[in-house]
Amino acid sequence: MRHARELAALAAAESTLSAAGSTLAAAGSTLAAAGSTLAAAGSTAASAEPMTAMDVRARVRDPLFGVASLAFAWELLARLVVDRLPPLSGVLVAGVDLVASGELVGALAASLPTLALGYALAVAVGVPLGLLMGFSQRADALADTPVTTLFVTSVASLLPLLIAVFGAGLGFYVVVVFLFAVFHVTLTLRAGVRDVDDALVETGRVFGASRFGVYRHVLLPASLPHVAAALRLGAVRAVKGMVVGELWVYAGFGSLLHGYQRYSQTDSALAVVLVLMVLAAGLSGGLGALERRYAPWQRVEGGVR
Amino acid sequence: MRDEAFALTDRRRRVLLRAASVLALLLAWYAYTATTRTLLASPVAVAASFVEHVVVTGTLRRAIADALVHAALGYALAVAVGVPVGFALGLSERLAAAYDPVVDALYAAPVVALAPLFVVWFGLTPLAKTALVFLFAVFVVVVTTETGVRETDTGAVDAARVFGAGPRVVYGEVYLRSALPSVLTGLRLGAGRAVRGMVAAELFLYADDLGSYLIDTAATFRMADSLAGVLALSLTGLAAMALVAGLGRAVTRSGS
Repeated sequence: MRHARELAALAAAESTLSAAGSTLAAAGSTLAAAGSTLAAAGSTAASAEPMTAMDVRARVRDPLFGVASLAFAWELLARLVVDRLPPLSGVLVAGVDLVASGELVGALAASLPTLALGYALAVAVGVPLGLLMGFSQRADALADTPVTTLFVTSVASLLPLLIAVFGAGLGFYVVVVFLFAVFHVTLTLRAGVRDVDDALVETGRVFGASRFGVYRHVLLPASLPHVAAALRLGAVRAVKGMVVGELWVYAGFGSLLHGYQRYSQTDSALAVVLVLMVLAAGLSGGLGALERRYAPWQRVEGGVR
Repeated sequence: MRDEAFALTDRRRRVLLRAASVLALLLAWYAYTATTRTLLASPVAVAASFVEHVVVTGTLRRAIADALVHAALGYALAVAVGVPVGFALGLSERLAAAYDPVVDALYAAPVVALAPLFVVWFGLTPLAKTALVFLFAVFVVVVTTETGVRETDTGAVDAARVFGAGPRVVYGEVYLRSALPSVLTGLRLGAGRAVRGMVAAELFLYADDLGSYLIDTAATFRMADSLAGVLALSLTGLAAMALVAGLGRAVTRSGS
């Protein structure tokens, strides 16, 4: 019970995140590509629901101000106070170099397939399992203890073991990504499905829906927004899993980061961190946009229940 | 409303199902390790190793206790920074509109990617570990605190103002009380995150006893010992969250 509430909270927190999903992706890309203001404004406006011009301005302008003020503070701090911190401008230049030299593309090409595979597996297992645990108390009683136990287990602490078992191959990355994402997907979804208003189910029954009909026409559509929330959280977790796995075996982004560490290239390392941040936020924001398009009838709003 | 007796048998049946599923899984695990040649250690061996390293010799217990020092320090910092920042973002819509996307992106960011940078900045020092734990824990505290403050009933705030409440009462009593459950959720989640950060610091910055234990046992294929370490860390995370939850309940009770 306690975990369910905590998860509901986690999910709520995560969905507050992506309520600002598209703006977030836009803000991220400004950070990374500096100066694509127009593109950012365009993408925010395009993916959002119909709004007045003023809404659009407020939704773009405020986050832009936020990012710009932080960027300015970073630059000042780095130039005047903290020697060790490379100024943001330097980091952006390093980021451009990273793209130009092909290092970034290489890391992405190496990492994205394993990310996609691990995430797809996590979704294929986590979504049905989470729905089942949310719908059926019996299934929940059966699966709750093992799933919750694995959920609280630090996947990082399993890294040395996983590498010993799987070796540094494709299997290792996929398993790490899978383990990072699957239990969050499962438990977020369960918390969401449990949250579906009982009155909806009763109404379905009153109008003569069969047991299956209630699942098909009431619970499933009512759960879809929670599926979307679980997919977003899962994507964020999957990126974390990818990074952790690659750092452990010095592959992909991990090998880039370790290389920069060796030569104290903090600007390039920070550029990679920003790229990873944009990747995670962008995936989450992109899924949020899909959600608004295909399941717009019930937004999962933020708020701790 | 459901019948009491029905609810009782219902609950009893669920407890039975739960126990049966755990038992079945453990048996299947045991049967698998007993009948096949596999790297996987049997649950009995894991339990034995857990008792040996945590209770009898205490190597694992001491290793975790040592690592927890950084975790506690980083967590305390995360709370000291996260709660005020969350309060500010929750109180001011303008601040939230400007900075929420950044906070959200940071919350979603893979913090562990900063580990190599921290090695450059702080060297292989406890400071690096504390900083990593801080970053692991701080954003969940910010986000949950912000949510709690924002959901404070404005009616209650207005009522307090009408009755002449000053800022001390409005912020220290009305907002704080209303946000408290959410803040406590954040503190509990933060404690769990701090323990994860602690593990990440052991593995990705530099290994003290805990990191060495995890790495050495796995590298020499002592699977039972390695899994005992993983189990002990899970329990540590749960214990940290339970401790914070307990403290929270004590505070809530004494305050009301």
